[in-house]
This record gives sequence, structure tokens and C-alpha cells, in this order.
Amino acid sequence: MTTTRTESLFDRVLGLIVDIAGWGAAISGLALVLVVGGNVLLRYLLNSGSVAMQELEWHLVSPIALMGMAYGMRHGGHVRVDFLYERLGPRARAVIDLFSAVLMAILGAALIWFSIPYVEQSIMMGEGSPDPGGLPYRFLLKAFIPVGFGLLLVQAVSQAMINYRQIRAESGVPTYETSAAIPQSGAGD
Amino acid sequence: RAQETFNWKMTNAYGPGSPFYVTGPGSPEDFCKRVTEMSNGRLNIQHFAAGELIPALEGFDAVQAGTVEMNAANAYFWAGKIFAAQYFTTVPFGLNFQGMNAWLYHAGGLDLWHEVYKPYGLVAFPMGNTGVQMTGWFREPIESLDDFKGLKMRIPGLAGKVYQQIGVEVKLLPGGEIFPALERGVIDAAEFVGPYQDRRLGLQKAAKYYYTTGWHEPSNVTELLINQKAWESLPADLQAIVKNAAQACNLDSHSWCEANNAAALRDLVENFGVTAQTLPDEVVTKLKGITKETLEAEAAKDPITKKVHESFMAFRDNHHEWAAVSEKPYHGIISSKDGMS
Amino acid sequence: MTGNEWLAIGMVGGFFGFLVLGVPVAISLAISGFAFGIMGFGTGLFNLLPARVYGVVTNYTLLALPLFIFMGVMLEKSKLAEELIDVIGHAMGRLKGGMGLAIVIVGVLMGASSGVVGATVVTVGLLSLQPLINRGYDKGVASGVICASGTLGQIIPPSLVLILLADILGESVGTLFAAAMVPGLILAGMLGLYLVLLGIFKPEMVPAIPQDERDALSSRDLLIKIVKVVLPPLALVFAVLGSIVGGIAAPTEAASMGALGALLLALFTRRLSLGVMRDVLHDTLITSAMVFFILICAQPFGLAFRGLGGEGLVHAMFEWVPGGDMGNLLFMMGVIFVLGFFLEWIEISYIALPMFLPVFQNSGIDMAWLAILVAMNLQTSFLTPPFGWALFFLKGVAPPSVSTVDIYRGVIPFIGIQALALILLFIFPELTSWLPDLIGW
Ligand code: NA
Ligand code: NA
Repeated sequence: MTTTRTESLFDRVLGLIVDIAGWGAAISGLALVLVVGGNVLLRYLLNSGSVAMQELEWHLVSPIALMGMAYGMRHGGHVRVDFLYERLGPRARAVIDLFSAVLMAILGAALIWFSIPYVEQSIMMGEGSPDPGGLPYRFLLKAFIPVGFGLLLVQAVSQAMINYRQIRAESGVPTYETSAAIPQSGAGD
Repeated sequence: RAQETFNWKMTNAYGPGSPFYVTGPGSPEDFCKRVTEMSNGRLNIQHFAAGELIPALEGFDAVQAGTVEMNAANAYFWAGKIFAAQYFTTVPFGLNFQGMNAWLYHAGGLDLWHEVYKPYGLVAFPMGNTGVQMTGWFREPIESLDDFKGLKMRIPGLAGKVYQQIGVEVKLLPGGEIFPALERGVIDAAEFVGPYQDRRLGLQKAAKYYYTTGWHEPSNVTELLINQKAWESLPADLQAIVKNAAQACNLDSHSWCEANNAAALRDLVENFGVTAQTLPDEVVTKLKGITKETLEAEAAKDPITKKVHESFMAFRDNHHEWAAVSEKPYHGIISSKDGMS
Repeated sequence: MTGNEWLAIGMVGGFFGFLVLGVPVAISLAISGFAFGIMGFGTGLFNLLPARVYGVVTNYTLLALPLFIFMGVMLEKSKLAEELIDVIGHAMGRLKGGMGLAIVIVGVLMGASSGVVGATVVTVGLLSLQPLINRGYDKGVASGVICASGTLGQIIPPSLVLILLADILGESVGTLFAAAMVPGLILAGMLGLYLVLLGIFKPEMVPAIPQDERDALSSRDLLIKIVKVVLPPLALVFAVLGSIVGGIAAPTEAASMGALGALLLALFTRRLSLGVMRDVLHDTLITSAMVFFILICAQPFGLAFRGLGGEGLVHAMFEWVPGGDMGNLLFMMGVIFVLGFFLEWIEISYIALPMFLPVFQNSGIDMAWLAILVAMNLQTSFLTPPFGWALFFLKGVAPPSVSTVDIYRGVIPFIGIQALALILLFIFPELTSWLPDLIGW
């Protein structure tokens, strides 16, 4: 929805990264429905199931939540209190959006910073499930935290560039792109 | 050296207000209070229940990273990181309260515990014990091994793996969902702790057959986990205070359980129509055999687990030999009318 | 007050500042937490953040969230829900407020099958906000009724709030479930009554389907439409509820019956194409991620609030509350309500309850009654502007024409109703003890 002719190659690469991860997460959503539903039905009808499949249920939530953050931001799926925002002109809005994007970048960077030692610790121990028969490689699950916030950082950079060009365009500074062609991707409600 | 004051944090794997696990005589909160008193305020430990600072099972990582200095939990929660940790809480058909303490304090158990945790920069001490737990709650009576085929049971951990081999369908459920699931028959059986804790969850309203004895958890050690660097920064007198407070809580928490479980069980039987009974012999024998195979298979996977396993099992046989001529006949004498069934 | 306690207050202020500017809610929460936390205690405590984030995204009970959202989105995208509100409106005849009444009923049914607040608000919001507005409902009333009905699930068992309260208060989960049933239904009844009264006194806010349009649809056609349009979604909600009651699924996993059911329904009614599936997965992800993003970003805020000694502030206030159990109780209710403006409910329960617990445990106050009072109060806090979770979740799925102010304005009467229910419960503790006594729980 954001690919317009005026987007630079860099913009499109950033968008593509977020979208690919987002589709991985979206498919986890379908898998979640099938796995949880399947576990319930198999247990009830056939008296069968496994600890690993039960653990897979909540393992699937991590990609949805963490890889979905940036994708949601990119496709307008976030909430803001808009009573001031909706009264502002396009330039002021772009300024607020740029400010938000910078804060989002800080948030992404901070969580990457804090979570890398946490994930490292888990990798060093080869952490798996404490339940015999559970899923191994629990550190992969934890790795979704820096990955998810890394994607958020990517999205923040992409959004900041769009907002920055918007501000310049609104201020009458000529750019090689026309602001009108740039959609409010990830910045509007 | 000037008298330095230490302000530490302790996290806990159990939620706020949980008797035994968080609050009450011999609990982690009690431990923190004792340490402050004994050290005259030189070591203050602020206690945080699960969810207050971090989620329930994140204490190991937090202590290892040194962000908090102490954590209260059960070592077997870390079995996914270090399998041998299992033995420092309990293993099926393992040691009871006396045996566990004898092994830990006087037969090399605690040294092994420290050896296992050393590579991770951690130190641990026993700080509590529930004593023997209950097999669990069953919606239908268990008469033979066949009754376990296809039985859906909430039972985490090693015991779950053992049950699976006699046909049990293991269901993982958080504490809060045990009641509604058992009540509606989503599961046919559930294991939790013992009479006092189980009554608190209301399980007697969902199932009436309460089996004993806790073959799967013949005792259950509360672990005091400490960041090694932090531990080494304490002067010797404060270290002694921590060790002694932990040992006092180990005793006091168990005494509290012994004092409360009897009344709770009587209440369950007399006022809620619960029947408490033992599992059939054939079931126990079968479970014992499978447990032996399972533990031996796991122990063969890495040298440190093997070392712990062998020490634990050698001591168990040793201790049971003595218990068979001391505790066992004594219990036989004083409980000749077997007040439970 | 210590410097850090001032920072705690500043943090709440900073958060409101970001919110008013229009910075996304999640980012406002996280950044104000970070900024003031670092000023107060440096980065040390934030090393615990990954553990808290991991706790949120691997929380078993939150499984229900994407599952319910999937169900709602599937009903919407496969056009199974398009006519839903319309057909209900026709079926309600000339009863003004009738479509709103249907929302309350759906709220009760979904509430009885789920304990996750975002799930119901988002699902019902997706299905009904735009159709209600199309039918001439006042935007505020439509938003308010969805938020209020969507939070009923917190008091109608099974409920996450009640499970947590049972744990903290040392009551059995079963007792609290039974104790909450009657108050929950009374609250639902009051919401319904309000809509009926609105239909009488302010009919233009909750119009019925116009007479001529209703006349144009024969009762036979209406019946067919009810079977084709109303029955399927209702059947899904009953599938969820039925699988819990019938012992097929535990409360959390039951949500999958609705999601799977919606998938099969779309498949068998030949409404499922690859394009529809793609849209469903896209929307499910965006909506679920919106809710999770807020929950995740609440973690640095909650951690900082604790690290800065925010709970110490509450303690200090408690010191000078005039004595007496009633004084303490009223103070606690006030604290929970106010904390509800800026903290997540789990954080509130953990901060407020353990502090008051020792006071009430020795007072002879019925803990089950106390738990239900707290649960209903927490539920109200989901609705209180400027920071009610339900309001944000609805905003996340609302059409662009519905502004935050519409939602804030619309929810106010419903907060009033909840306050009234709370007062009723306060005066008549029997409302909570009657059912547990009757069935012996
Ligand atoms: Na509910
Ligand atoms: Na609120």
C-alpha cells in the first residue's frame, strides 16, 4: 500500500523488510488457529496430543506480537489520542509524526540494547523447555525480542524519512519528490 | 573495615500473597525480614513477588545477569537450562524432607549444587520445603493401571513424562485454569501441591478423589538463588546470616506445612465429601520402574547430571534403608487406625 | 516526598503530554517510562525489561487475543457480518436502542467465553461500530456501548481479573467465578436498561430501522435472513462457550473453537478465497499487534513506576487515611480507580492489593465481596478517559470518522452506570454471596 513511484529504492527496501517479516507473523496467526484448534479437537476426539504441540501454541504468539509491531506501524495499525492532532495542519502533523518516529527509533534501539545480553545468556545455555517432551531452542523464541524491535527501528527510520520530506515540502523547500504522492504510511490512523 | 550497608532485591517465582511460597512462616518474605533483623539492617532485601518486577520464571536470568541479587523459586524450573537442577528440588521416588536435607547438608548434595551452578556464576541454598505432596485430584477413582489409559491430567515436569508412558494424556495448564478445566472435565485429573494449597485453589469442588502419596514429589525444596559476585561481596558475618536464615526458613516452612496440612485434609474429607486414598500397588510399582528408566536415560546425557544422579540415588538407597527400620515402623505404630481412609 | 517520587509524578505527567500531542499511545508509554526511569535510577532496572516483554508475548492466556480477533476479522471479511447489525435491527422492530441491546447481549456471551478484555472490544468493534453508525446511531453511544459491553468479560466468568484476584486474595477461583455471576448480569441488565431508556428519551441517538424499510422486508424474508446472517456468528460464540461448558476446551483454548469455526463457516459457505484469506491474516496481525504493542510498551512504564517508588507514594497516602475498614475500603477503591488512568490492570492489582490485603484480612470483610468490588472497579478503569484500555483498543479498529473525543464523550454515561452498579454492590454484599452459597462453592 505504500509503494508509490516517488519512493526511493532505500524506502522500498526498508518497507520490504518490514513486510516480509510481517507476512511471517501473519502466517503464524493462521498457524495459531490451526494448532490450538487442532490440539483441542485431537485431545477431545482421539485422546491424543503432545507436550511439544501444546508449547507450540504460545510459541506462535511471540512472532505475532513482536514481528507484528513494525508491520502494524507501517500499515496504520496503531492508536493515538487525536483531539489535538486532528485540528492541526499537515505540516504540524508531519512534525509530530517525525517526533514520534524519532521516539520509536529510540524505543527500538533501547530494547535491542537491553535484550541482546538476555538472548545471549539463553543461547549460551542452549535453553530449551523445562518440560520433558517440550520444544528445544527456547533461545530462538527469545531472539524475537531484538528482531522485533530491530524491525521497529527500521520502520522508524523509514517513517522519519517520509515525514522529514513532508515537512520540507510543506515548508516550500523543493524536493525531487512531491509530498502529495507520499502516503501517510504508518503515520496516519 | 567500615560497616557497609547492602540493599538487595529478591524476586520470586510465585505470585503476591501465596502462603508458603511468598508469605508466612519460613517463606521468602520471612527470610528477608529475618536477614534484616539479624544483620541489624546491614543487609536489606526487598522482596518482589512474581509479576511485580519480572514474570514468574525469569528469576534465573535476572540473578545471573546480576540485575537482582536473589531469587526464590524451585530449581527444577531451570531444567530447560540445566537438567541436573531437577535433583535439587525433587525427583519422582526421590527423597523426603529428612532425606533431602541429610543429602544436601551432610552428604555432598549442597556441594554438588554449587558445582553445577558455578559455571553460571550462581550460588544456591535450600530455603524451604513443602514436605511430601499429594498425587492429585481425580474425577473418577483409580482402580488399576488401565484407568490411566487416555486419562487427561494436568501434570508438569518429569512426572508428566513418566505418566505419559502409562497412557496419560499430559495437559499443560496455568494454575488459574486448573479449576475450570477440572470442573468441566476438560481434564480428568490435576496435580497441584498439598491439602492446604489445593483447597485454596478450590479443587475439592471440581473433583472428589484425592490420591496420595506424592510419589512424584516426595518433598519439594524452595531454592534461594544468589548471584555469585554479589554473594562474594558480602562480608563473612553477613554470609553466615544468609545461610542461617535460609536454614531456619527451610525448617520453619516445612513445620508450617506439617501443622496446616492435617487440618486442611480433615476439612476436605469431612466438609467437602473428598475421599483421600492411596494409588493401587500395581500402579506405583509400574511408575517406579518407568521413573528409574527415565532418570537413567536423562542422566546418561551429560556428565554433571550423571554425577548428581549417582550421588542422589546412592544416598536415597542408603537413607531408605535406615528409614525402613526407624521412621517406617514408628509411623506404623502410631497410625495403626490410619485416619485417612 | 523523595526526588524519585516527584519523578514518578512527572512520568505520569510526561505520558499525558505525549498522549495529548498525538504520539502513538504505546510509544508515549514506553518513552515516558524510559526517560523518567533513567533520570531516577539509571538503566539498571531496565535490564529486566526483556524478561517482562518475554512474559507478555509468551503469556498463555493472551493466546485468546489473536484467536478472537481472527474470528471477528474472518466474519467481517467474508461478509458474514456485513448485514448482521441490519438484520438484528429489523428483528428488533420499532424498539429504539434495540441494536445496541444486541451488542450488550453479544458482550455477555463473549464475556462468558473469554477473559481477555481487548479481545471482545476489538471483535465487537470490528463487527458493529461502522454498521451502527450507518444506521444513525450516535457515534459516542455506539462507541460507549461497545466498550462497556466488551469489558463485561472481566466480571462475567471466566475472567483473567478474577483468576489473578483469587490468587492474590487467597480465595478459590471457583468461589470468585460464582460470586461474580450475579453482579455481572446485573451490570449487563443496567446497560440494557440504559439503552431502552435512551430509546425513549433520546430516540434520535439510538434509532430503530425506519418503518418503511421494515415494512419492505416480509417476516418470512426476515426469518431467512436471521438464519443466514445472525445464526452463524451466534453459533460461533456458542461454540466457544459450549466447548468450555461441555468440557471440551479450557477457557483460553476455547477461543480457537470460534476461530476455527469462522474459518470452516467461510469455507463451507464458499466465501473463502485466497484474497479474503490474505486480508483476514493481514487485519488479524495488525489488530493483534496493536494490542500487544500497547501491552509491551506498558512494561517500561510499569517498571519505572515501581523503580521510582510510585507504590511508596500510594503507601504514604494510605498512612493518613482516617481509620476504619470503610475508610480503608473507600480509599482503596479510589486508588484503584485513579491508578486505572495510567497503569495496566495487572500492575494495579499488584501494587494496590498486597498493600491493603493485611488490613482487610483481619477485619472480617468478606474477601469474595471485596474481590468483586475490585474487579468491577478495575473494569470501570478500562473505560476511564484519557487512558482506558478499552477506549484505545476500540480506537484501533474504529473507522477514521470516529475520533478519540467521540469515544471519550460516549463512554461517560457508561462509566456512570458502572459506578451505580458499584454502589449497589457496595450496599448489598448479598449480590455476591447469594450464588456461591446456593451452589456451595
Ligand atoms: Na469472562
Ligand atoms: Na483507565
